[in-house]
Amino acid sequence: MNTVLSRANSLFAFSLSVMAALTFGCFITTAFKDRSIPVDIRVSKVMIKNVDDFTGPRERSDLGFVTFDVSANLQPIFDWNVKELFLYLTAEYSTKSNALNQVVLWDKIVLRGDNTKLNLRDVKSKYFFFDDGNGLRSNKNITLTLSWNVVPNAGILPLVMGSGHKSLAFPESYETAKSY
Amino acid sequence: MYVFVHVPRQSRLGYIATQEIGSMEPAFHRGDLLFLTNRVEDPIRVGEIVVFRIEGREIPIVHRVLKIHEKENGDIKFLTKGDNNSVDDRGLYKQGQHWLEKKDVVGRARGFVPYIGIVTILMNDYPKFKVCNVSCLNDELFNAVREHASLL
Repeated sequence: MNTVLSRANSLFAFSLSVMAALTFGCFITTAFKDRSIPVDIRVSKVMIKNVDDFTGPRERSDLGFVTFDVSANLQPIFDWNVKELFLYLTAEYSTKSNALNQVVLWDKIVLRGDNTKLNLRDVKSKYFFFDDGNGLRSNKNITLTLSWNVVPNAGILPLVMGSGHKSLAFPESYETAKSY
Repeated sequence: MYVFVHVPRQSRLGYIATQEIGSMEPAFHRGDLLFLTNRVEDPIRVGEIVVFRIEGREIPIVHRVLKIHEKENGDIKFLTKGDNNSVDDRGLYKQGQHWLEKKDVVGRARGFVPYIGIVTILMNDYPKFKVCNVSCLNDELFNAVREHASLL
């Protein structure tokens, strides 16, 4: 321990060990936490059209339009090991051609330090709600749920679904008016 | 986000150090380490972070699943998008390819440790750093050996 270099080396190695221990501590203290909270979803407007899927496969498919309200208090989820929450609103349903369909209609990134009270009204979906085919018309059972991916400082990346969902039904006929 | 993949053939658990652009920011940055699992029986659901390879390209991509359509027999087709991108990944897929399938998936991101890969990136970006690192270690080793030799 009599050269600058060996002292620097020891210091560096020690710092690395401490940081590794802290990182592991961060992980193990939050690994088994339940990160679910109640969520309130409401739907204000539902409409359906049938157009060529311009986002990809150019087949005539059902295009759904959903306007919704979502509110939740995200405060209980954040702790010392949560860096970010990736929120996403999923529409889940089944059709004659596909047993399970899941479409993300909207997503949002909430970082630690951001406003944690989520209270959004009349939100239009961010992504086009195209079905793989024509299975949305008269579909009585579309379930909307809000979920989030917890991104920690270090540790597991769980996907958590909020408790509270909303079922909606699409109308029997397509909307012919130009407006949305 | 392009990644440097190291998924061992035998085991189901692999890891990767992220190398390139920040299409998954602010969650993951260059130099973060992602732990992957590759259990084929795990169903692919929206919101999951998957590592996939596009046919004909070597470099795998780590993005989030945006949409899935699964048939009763388990056949699934899905669409992905990077968190920080404004459009989905159809522009990245092969010409004429609109969906990804289970066979394209290399793994699912389950855990994460920040900053670990930074040394590898520094050594790749600045080769001088690699040389300096090695020579410093050599000095250290030399000194340590000398110390112990004098104690004998």
